[in-house]
Amino acid sequence: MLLNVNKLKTYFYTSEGTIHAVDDVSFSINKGTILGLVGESGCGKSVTALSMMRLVPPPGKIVSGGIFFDGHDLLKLDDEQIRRLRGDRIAMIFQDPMTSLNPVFSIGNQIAEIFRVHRGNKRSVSFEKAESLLQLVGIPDPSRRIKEYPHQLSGGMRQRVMIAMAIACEPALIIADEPTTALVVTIQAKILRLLKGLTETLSTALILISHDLGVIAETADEVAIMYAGKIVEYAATKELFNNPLHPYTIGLLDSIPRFGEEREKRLRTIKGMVPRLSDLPSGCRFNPRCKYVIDRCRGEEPELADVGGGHLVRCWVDVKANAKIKGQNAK
Amino acid sequence: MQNTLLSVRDLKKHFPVDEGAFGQRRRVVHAVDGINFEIGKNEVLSLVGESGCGKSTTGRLILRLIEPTGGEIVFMGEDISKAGRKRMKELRREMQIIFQDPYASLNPRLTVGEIVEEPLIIHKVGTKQDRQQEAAHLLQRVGLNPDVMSRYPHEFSGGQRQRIGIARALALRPKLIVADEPVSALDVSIQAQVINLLKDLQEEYHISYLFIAHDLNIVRIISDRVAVMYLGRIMELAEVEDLYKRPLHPYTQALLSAIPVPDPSQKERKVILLEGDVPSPINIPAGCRFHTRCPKMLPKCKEVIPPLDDFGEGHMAACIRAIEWA
Ligand SMILES: Nc1ncnc2c1ncn2[C@@H]1O[C@H](COP(=O)(O)OP(=O)(O)O)[C@@H](O)[C@H]1O
Ligand SMILES: Nc1ncnc2c1ncn2[C@@H]1O[C@H](COP(=O)(O)OP(=O)(O)O)[C@@H](O)[C@H]1O
Ligand SMILES: [Mg+2]
Ligand SMILES: [Mg+2]
Repeated sequence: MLLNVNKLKTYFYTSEGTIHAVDDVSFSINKGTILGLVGESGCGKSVTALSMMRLVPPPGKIVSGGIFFDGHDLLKLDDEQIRRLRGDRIAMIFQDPMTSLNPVFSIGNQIAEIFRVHRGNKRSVSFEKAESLLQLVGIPDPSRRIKEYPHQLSGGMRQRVMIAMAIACEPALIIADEPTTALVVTIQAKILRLLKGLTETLSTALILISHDLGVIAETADEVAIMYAGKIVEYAATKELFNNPLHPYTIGLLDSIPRFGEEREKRLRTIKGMVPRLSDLPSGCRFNPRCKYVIDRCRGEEPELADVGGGHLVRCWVDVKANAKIKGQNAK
Repeated sequence: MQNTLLSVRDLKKHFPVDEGAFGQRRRVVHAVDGINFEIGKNEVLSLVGESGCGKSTTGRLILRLIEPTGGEIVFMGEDISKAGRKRMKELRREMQIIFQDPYASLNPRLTVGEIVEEPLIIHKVGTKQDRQQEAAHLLQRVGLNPDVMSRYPHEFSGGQRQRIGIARALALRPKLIVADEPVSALDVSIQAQVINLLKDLQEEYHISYLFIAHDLNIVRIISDRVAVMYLGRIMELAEVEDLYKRPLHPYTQALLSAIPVPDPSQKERKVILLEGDVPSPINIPAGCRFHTRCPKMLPKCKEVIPPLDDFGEGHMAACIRAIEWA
């Protein structure tokens, strides 16, 4: 096991109260596999990722739990140790490339810098390596592009430059936070292939954060569905799509338009809105939007329970048997 | 087309830009580079294509929020491309816009009631009481409780703000709404709610939409016809199901093949990957502007600009090989 996140809690202490952004999240990931992390905005995906990088901004704090990476307890490392891991063994790709690209340095300079810092390479070697990386991520004409500045590149190219920076040191783990959300499908397909290729050739593990279930179905080996700071369902990708058991997952899958012979006229929706994390409903956090809700859901919060074969679900209702309480299953 | 509401002919928008530190090289961005299409009454025409291909510019040209470099915009039989300020103000009653960003597009200093009422005030419709009644009615119709009237935009979620923007756009009962990526900034479950609302309103109020989007699944749900743009030009235009089932342009074929399918058993399905990146709209490639990336390119494509031809039942494509797939 490469990474194990155990009962992680990351809270923000704001004037409006405590925001339970990541609330008791556990998962693990092996070398060469892809975990999809899915959920609507504000549910805690990015804060989960930032916690793993130890980059949670104030007023946020990792409150409790453990993050074990390749034999290290990341929460116990000092700042210097964590800095050495970051960008070397663990790398992150952000949704907006401009958050990690510096506008005043050329692309080549920024990539070469990584080799100088983490590998102690000389300038000429660093630039050679940078150029072949640009080639690898599919940037046309890399010897010209390497001299250019971020603003001279298209969105898709900037995204690929950021991927080049992330893979520069062949990290064991890449966390990609909505890496293709802003891109058109043709470029998205290329970037996902590139990332997937890395997990195959370098045995990199990838945590792919996305709200697009199509992207997840095509890329991930396992999927965790998050809702309001908690994982509500976790399963192998095929199992999750063929046999979704949490009402939220079912609602998300239903809201994707399907096109058979007859074109659908309306989209199916999940009623209501995502709750604010400073103002959560009691019991199950999804209960006000749930169409399977029973009394127990309003009073007691369900645990994430294994319903067989590593398929975990956080729900009181046996959706398949339609609204029968599965008291025995829940611990 | 019978019952044409809007017809756009050879519409162009070229932006001059200065390159180099001293602006010594004057160049031109060919944002919209000669497009033709029509929108019928009660029809939804979608514009799709990669970012930067000219979709928003087209929408803004039609409303004359920016001035065309060339071409005609014929709205209800009148060429409005040179209409004066006064006439345009009158015409704006009939044409409204909904923007992508529900955060930036609502005036933060006005209450929700004032935001929806404002177009009625500008056009001097009804008494104050009529207008407030109408604003309450519209807010209710888009799914908001009328008691939101005295609150401010920042108190609302993205989906709710987009509903406020829709209520405002509806206030004057326009015939045409340009919806520029109206759900792109919203969450999946909220997207579905807003799309259903837009569809219901379109039928109820007999509005036409120019619907700009990049989510090809949503486009398929909401459109009657779809136009695919690339580098400022329309590459293909057809009835929605015709386009998705029988794309005739290699660009459309690539776009459609790359839509992620939420079904892991189709993981290995064939995706047409395009070479390279979109060329700069400053240096448009000669011949077919898609030829630098086209997997079906012939030598001739570097020279011949293919016209947007009709391949039957209004299925138009700008490709010299389209006949092979028709
Ligand atoms: N800097 C911050 N200050 C206060 N709250 C924050 C901050 N960053 C994130 N949050 C809160 O944490 C929650 C989770 O955010 P995030 O992980 O970014 O969600 P997403 O799933 O969209 O990536 C959100 O509800 C947000 O309000
Ligand atoms: N005011 C402007 N000045 C210069 N270039 C512009 C301006 N507005 C848009 N463009 C350029 O025109 C092209 C088309 O832009 P736009 O219509 O916004 O594309 P889309 O909406 O399809 O993403 C882009 O290359 C864009 O950079
Ligand atoms: Mg995020
Ligand atoms: Mg746009």
